[in-house]
Amino acid sequence: METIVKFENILAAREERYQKMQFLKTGYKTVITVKTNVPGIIKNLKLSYTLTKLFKNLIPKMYIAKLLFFDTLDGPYYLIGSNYDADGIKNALMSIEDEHFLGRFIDLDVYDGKKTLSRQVPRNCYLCDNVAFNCIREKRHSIEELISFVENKTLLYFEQEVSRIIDDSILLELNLHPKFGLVTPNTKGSHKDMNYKLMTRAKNTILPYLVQMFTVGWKSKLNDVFLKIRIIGLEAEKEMFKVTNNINAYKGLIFNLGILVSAYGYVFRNHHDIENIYDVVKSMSVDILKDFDTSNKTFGYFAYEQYNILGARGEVHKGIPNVKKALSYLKSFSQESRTRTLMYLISVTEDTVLLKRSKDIDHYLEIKKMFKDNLNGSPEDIINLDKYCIKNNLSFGGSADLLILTIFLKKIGLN
Amino acid sequence: MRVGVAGSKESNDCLVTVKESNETKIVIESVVAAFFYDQIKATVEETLKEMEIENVSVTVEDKGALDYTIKSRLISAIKRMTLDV
Repeated sequence: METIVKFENILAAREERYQKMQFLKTGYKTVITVKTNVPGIIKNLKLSYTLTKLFKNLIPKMYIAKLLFFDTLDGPYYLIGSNYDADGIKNALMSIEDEHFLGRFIDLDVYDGKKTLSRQVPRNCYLCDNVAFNCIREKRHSIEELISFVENKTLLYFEQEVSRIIDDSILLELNLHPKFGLVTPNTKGSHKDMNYKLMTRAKNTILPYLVQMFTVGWKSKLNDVFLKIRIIGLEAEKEMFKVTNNINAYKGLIFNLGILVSAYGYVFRNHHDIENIYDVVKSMSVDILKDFDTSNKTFGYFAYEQYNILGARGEVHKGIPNVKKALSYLKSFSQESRTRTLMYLISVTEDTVLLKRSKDIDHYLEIKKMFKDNLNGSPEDIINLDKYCIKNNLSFGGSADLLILTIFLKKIGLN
Repeated sequence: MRVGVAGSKESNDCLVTVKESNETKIVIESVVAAFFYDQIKATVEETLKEMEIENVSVTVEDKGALDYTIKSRLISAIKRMTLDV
């Protein structure tokens, strides 16, 4: 909860910070402070935690000899003890403040024991071209106006970041070759009706919708997220089918990556530990299996009714356990690592795409076992497996989607 | 001589130092001095008057603090000075 505290308490917290800085200075050459530059007396806005953490991570590692975090009535902040010279640090940090898209909202102060180094030219106001100090003194803008400006710009920044990460994740899967009957830049695999261009088109079409789902997670209460993203997901499907002539390129991905990115938006915004993302996915999709009660009779329904195979729904319902395990195979984003990770996922995933393309349930299980047995296979084994899959018209759309989720998780810092 | 200090030299704050003196003396160093020197000085004078304090030397090192911050820092500094023995 955001709390409004007494003005005196804020002032006391600031003095205390000043004392802590002086104390930290006794052990280090220079002290760096990372705190937000957001007006108003509500100092523990979610925004402030997001910004301080973002910029703490941007400070060159070599400067950081000691890192302390404080959550005070004047808001959250980091104090860093450094063994480098104050002047050099100040120049480096000033360029972060000046060049980063959100740099205006952070104060990276450098204290050399006598004074906090100030910039020669004072910073301008967020909203107009005047010197900020003057706007503050004259109360030229309302606090609400200023905060909503910071909020919007911060969200915009993270939307761009997440868009890039999603795009990278999808491409790292799509560009992998060979891929056991899936579409790659060099082959249509087992898909007569698809090719690389079509997949790229579909990717570009669904990308903005996935970003919207991230934003829903960022802005909404946990209980509201799922219903909201489902509407966006249906819209994304519709648009995708338009650009693919009704070929299903990424329907499954819209579903499970959509859930994951919205969970990320939620976890990130509420500054939960990133590991919580699994629990958030799980609680968001708690009712997902009810789809099987009401759904029209799709192949997914058939798989469930006949073999109790839950497919993509089951994976998210359980909190994406296979994706979590797959992360240990994804040591890097190398061809080798991605291939092994995909093979692992194929061996454990309930993949309804594969079930559809197998002769029967025994064949389905047999193929999964082939992948399990070849997890440590040679490059030649992999090529042979690829040939076998194309010859038998097999494909693994469900597992490929989960590879994208695994890549996404690694990119946001999980391992 | 008794001394009281309050505040910090962070942005939007100020460091106020108050010392006993033979006469009342006010020194203001501010990033906004060009525009607001008089306003800051008036805030200090008013506060001293409200507290009925005379014969102190007040130094305000201002980093863009608002008047109520300056006032609050000054009051703290004076209280600390009177406790300083």
